[in-house]
Amino acid sequence: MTKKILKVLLIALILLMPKSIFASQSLEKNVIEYRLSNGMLWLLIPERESPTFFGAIAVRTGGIDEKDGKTGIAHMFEHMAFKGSERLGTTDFKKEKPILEKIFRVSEEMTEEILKSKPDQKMIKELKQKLANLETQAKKLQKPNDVFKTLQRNGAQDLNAYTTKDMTLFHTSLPKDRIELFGDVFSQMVFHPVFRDFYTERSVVSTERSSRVENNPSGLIYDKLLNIAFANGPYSFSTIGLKNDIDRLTVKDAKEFFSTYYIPINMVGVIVGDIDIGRTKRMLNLYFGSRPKGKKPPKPGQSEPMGDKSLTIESFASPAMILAYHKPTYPSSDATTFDVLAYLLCDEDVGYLEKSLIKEKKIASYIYCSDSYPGLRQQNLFLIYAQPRDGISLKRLEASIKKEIEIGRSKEITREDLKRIQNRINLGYYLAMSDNTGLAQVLVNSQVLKGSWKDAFQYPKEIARVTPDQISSLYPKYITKENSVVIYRNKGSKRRGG
Amino acid sequence: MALFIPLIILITTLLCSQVGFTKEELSIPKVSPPKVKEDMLPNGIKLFFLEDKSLPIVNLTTYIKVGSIYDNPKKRGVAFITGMNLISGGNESFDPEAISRELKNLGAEYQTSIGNEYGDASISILSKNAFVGLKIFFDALLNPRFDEKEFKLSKSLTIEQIKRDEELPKSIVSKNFIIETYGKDSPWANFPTVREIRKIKRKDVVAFHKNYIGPSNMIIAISGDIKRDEIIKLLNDYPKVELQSLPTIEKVKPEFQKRSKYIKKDVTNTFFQLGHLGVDRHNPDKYALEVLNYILGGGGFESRLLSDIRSERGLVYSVYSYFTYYKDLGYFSVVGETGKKNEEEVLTLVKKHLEDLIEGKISKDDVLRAKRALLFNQLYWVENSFSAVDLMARLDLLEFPKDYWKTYQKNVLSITLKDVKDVAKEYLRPDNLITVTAGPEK
Repeated sequence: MTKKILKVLLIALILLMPKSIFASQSLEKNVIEYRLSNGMLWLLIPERESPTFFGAIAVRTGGIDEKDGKTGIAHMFEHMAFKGSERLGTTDFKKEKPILEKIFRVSEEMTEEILKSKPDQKMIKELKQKLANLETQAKKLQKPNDVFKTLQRNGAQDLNAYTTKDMTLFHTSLPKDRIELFGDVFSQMVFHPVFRDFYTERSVVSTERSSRVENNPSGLIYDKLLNIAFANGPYSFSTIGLKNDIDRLTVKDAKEFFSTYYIPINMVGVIVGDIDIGRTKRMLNLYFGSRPKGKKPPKPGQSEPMGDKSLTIESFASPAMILAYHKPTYPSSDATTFDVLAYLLCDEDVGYLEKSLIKEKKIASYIYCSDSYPGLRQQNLFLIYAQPRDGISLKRLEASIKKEIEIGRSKEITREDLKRIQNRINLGYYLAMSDNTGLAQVLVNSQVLKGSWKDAFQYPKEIARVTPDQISSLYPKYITKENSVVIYRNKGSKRRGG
Repeated sequence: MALFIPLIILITTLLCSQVGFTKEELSIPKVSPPKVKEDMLPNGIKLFFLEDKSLPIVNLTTYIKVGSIYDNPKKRGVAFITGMNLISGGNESFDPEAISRELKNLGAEYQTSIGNEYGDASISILSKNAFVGLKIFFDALLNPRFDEKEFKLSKSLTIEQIKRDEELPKSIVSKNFIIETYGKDSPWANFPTVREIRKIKRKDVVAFHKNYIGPSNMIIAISGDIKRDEIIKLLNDYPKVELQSLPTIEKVKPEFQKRSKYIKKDVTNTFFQLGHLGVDRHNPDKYALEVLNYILGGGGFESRLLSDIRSERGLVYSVYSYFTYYKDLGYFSVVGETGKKNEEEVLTLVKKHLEDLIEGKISKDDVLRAKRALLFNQLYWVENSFSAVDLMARLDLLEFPKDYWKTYQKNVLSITLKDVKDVAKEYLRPDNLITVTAGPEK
């Protein structure tokens, strides 16, 4: 990433400044903030390393906005965005539209019947047949995967999307002269979906769930953790949704979700790469500017933390466990202190847990800390995931973890520890910014989750301010039995699923 | 709103109406190879360097020309364990605990490993500490301590990992597919067992390093906020060392025979991998095979496997194909996961798609799209200074010609529909597939 560093900047000033500050300041100055008249914010960063750009649209919605019975809808909609619009994915939308509407009606009827306490099996069978016939008709007018194909045929790479609890991100890289194509296709994806193939895609998502949760021991333990850590609210289940809910989602649900949350003021776009700013701004106005502002979406439901909880589950894999503590999120300064604690305990080879449990006592084979699971927009969890060495019980592992994490309370943390953590976090931060994709994601995450992309540049400074006293003060407040959640995953012979 | 769409349609129509085309007609932006400084040091180290002051960091990868295919068949796993201990085993001044503390204190991130054909040792570090950190790093890489305690720990963690990998359907399938494809005793299927790992002694690792690792078989890629003469000076301090020549290994026999292996796993989905031996990386048919693979299953939704089995039928979440190329024969493979009830249908569909290809059911359009994708791909080869030096180092390591950047374009452009049909017939063998599945009982 070669920066056009401001060469006219006072040389004396440059010499006085430590290099790291200088680099991040020049990066910060490269960010152009551009807000469209409908409120949609874009961050544009010119970079000329390759004749390409990375573009993404983040929507400030995800699992956090889902209601009971409709879990998984945010992720399901993410799939819908790739299914085309009135112009993409069809050979003749006028003819296709009435068929799509019939499909929606029949499947709604069918889903309703299935949900009844005594469903009429004969009726379901008839509706299924009807649906199959309609889908065959629609297929004749459709161009499958048109969104993917159009972009891929123009050199797209890294074309994908992901949904978290807190946001949904659609992204791609393209050759630099395809900037208008990016605007055209991405605006259709996020503003003009027509919910084609909803029901085929629902079964793809159902397979995706079984692949990510039931057939994946680490997916399973995190899924169950959320179930017991939160009594209700959006952090009490995995983003992919509950299996029963997914199988019953309808186009009506998806349309409602879309019209509530996919509005300009709820979106942030980012483009990093070989772009002409004037041309890019014109393109943004053309494709994204005419969308009406929309109504501010409702606040998400509140997740209700439950402490002093534990659960034992079984899977086909060797044992593992998670020890988690409820904690506040940004902008609480305690949240930043927890970030430091995660490094202090789990940094590879040098973290206190790593050193003691893996290297010295040899009772763990793998340790991992997360400072804010499952998201940043509500109170979340600090967690320690650990795998015991063969023959070590989970109880013993748990006791050792609890003993070792006391280092944070003891204030015996050295200046060397803190300096190291600062250096490590700085390195990670620069590495993340060293290509178009990483830089774009750092900025958009900060904007959507913390309210300002500029906060990303403040982060190393915030970390540098954390003291041993602050770390120690986390313990009486959060690292307590009342605040803890433990989940044990044993190896069992019986299959267990989510 | 539709202002720009006609232009795109025009380009696509133009492309589809002709067979041969030039790069300009594809409307692919020009891209020139990166300007990387190349040096051969007196001790034999080959260096690819690019200064980049945009961020206060330095990135470096050292490639080492030795891999697990050269393991003594009676001592399998030595290359792997050596790779694990290259930096973490310490150097003359620092024991393992001290070396990790010192490097991390300086704000460094590093990792080392030895794979089948070659090894790599990488470090990223804050540039203000680069010189001190790189010195510690190279002292460990070239004059390792191989601390006994750390060595034992690496063995026992490897044993745990082998056991855990056996449990996971995806890894057990891929391991068994390679064993079935190359034969369990082949150097290309070097998956040491728990027993073999237990037998490894520290002296084996020391000997492996002494025999096969030194400046003369290292290629270094480095970029960042550091001066070229600084790094050269640092590297010149390490003397030339005589290494043993690598043992000759038996050539892979191109044998094809249909067989299946099923591994029972207590899960709800079936995981599968099928395929057979392929070609080496210098085979001139490689480009046509890449085109073929894009059409089959390497191009996401542009490919037949995903668009048919997922989009049309909703039977899988993921299914894809790839060719792997080695200095000897690589392999061709299709990988996926599906619900147990769909297993037979999915496997039959995959086979059908392979048969379609060898029967010549490929259009000019298919070939054009794939060629275009391969050419576009080159735009992304160099996205920052480190990917530039890293690319040049890897091309050198794998013995590609100096002008690979240009010949790649030429080679892709020259592929014809007939070439693709020919390689499909020559290299795909749907009647002799090796199929490995793991999942619930049938």
